[in-house]
Amino acid sequence: MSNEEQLVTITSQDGVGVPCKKEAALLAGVVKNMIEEEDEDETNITEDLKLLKVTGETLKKVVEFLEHHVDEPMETLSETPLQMTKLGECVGPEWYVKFADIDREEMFLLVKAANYMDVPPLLDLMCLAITMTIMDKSPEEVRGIFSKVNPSLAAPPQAAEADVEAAA
Amino acid sequence: MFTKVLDGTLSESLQQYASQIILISILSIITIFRKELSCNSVYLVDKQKPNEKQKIRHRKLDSHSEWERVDFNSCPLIDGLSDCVQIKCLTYLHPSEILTLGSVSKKAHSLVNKELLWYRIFLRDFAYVLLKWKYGIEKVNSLRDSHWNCPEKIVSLLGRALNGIRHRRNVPSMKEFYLVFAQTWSEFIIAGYSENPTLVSIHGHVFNITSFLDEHPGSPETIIMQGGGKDASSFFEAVGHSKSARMTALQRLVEIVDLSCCRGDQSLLVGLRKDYHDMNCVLPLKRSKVRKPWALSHLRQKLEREKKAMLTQARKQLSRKMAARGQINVLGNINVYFDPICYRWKAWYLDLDFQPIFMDNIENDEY
Repeated sequence: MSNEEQLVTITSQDGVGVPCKKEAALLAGVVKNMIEEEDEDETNITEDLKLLKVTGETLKKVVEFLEHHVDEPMETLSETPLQMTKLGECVGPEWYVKFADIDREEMFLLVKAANYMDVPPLLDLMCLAITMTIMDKSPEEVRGIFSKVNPSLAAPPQAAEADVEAAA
Repeated sequence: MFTKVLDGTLSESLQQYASQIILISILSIITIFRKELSCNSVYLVDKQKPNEKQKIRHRKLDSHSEWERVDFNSCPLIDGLSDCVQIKCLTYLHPSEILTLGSVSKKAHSLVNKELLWYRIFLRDFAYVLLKWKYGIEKVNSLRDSHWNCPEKIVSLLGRALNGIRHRRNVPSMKEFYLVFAQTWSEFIIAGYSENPTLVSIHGHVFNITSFLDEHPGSPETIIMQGGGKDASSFFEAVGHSKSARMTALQRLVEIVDLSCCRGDQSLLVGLRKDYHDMNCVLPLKRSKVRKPWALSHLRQKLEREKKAMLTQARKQLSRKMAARGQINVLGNINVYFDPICYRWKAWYLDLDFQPIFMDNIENDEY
């Protein structure tokens, strides 16, 4: 079996197909199970890898992570509680730090995807990144950070005012 | 002619004193109108008071609406992700940071109080002394006969132990257990280890001085009576150990290091370990105040208060025992410690052969 360069296509919820090296795809628990099931059937058709809970954009990021992880595995320091306040100090190599430098909404999507697709290293990385955002902050600051992520928090008062105006 | 002269002198003197006159008049104006000019609240006239009140009320309303804008029922960290992911995120943090996060919103609060979270953090920080450390294991095993049946495997034993707590009267949450254990573990585990082995707790860490007793300048008996099996920090400092003595302790005698008692603590450290990469900051190298493990201050005060009360109670009980049974030989003082696993206070003392005698029930019924 020379599956080193064998490609599989993972399809997202919204129908976007992302090609991925089979070796890398096997890192994701969900995909691994799917592929193994297919191998048992001996049909060897690897096109029916559909993930119902992951959108195309997120899936692309996940595949990017998986393919890089095959070439250059991630290292995390396991010392807790964390002493560092920067991701770069507890995650190596540098590529992963850059990968995790995304805005918070994307982070949450990736965590959910990692959890669903069962990719422990990605989950570790994203959890660390999220933890970094809440470390060393007062409750007010944390509240501020998260109310920016979720626009519904700031929205209701404005909506209420609009309603009052409409009524008048 | 005369008037001219007078005029002349007058104008001259006017010119001479003009500046003083202006100054005096300004000062007097300020003095007369000081009430109006001042912003000191002492001078606030009655008329202005309602205005002020209104302003304050207004400000309160403002901040109130600001609070309303923050939805205390939701927090995206809490809403978006599954429980186990959130708990995973929190297990990277120091307990004080976790507690801080709990005041962000209602959901964050209920997340922070989850049993699983504190169980994980307990395993992370303290389980080492119960699962891997010889004396910790011995201690837990010694509890076995009297309190719960446990299987051989110590991990499940711990699980049972923690479940066992739940069946008792004073049921602590896992969070409370964690916080109390952080305070009481050292005296709990080393209680009774006063001779062979001789374990002492100094500045929150545990030292094994069995092999060192004969080399020690002070007599072994004194050490066994004053420090063996209990917290000897104040005794250690009162005697005044030299820097080299402290270094010896650090190099040869350390048994368990409590990271929260290591200096250089701008960074938050917590947890128990066999060693620490920078041993020099484990003990203070000159005479200093007793270091205490990280804790919530109200909890520490409560435990200290209870300890005092329990000490008098244990003494009373001992004297009652003596009255009933005749002579009981006690060497040195009676010591009390809190057993975080059985969740109550216990006491022990030495008999004349340096053997520890435990008293398991010193709390009275109403406690």
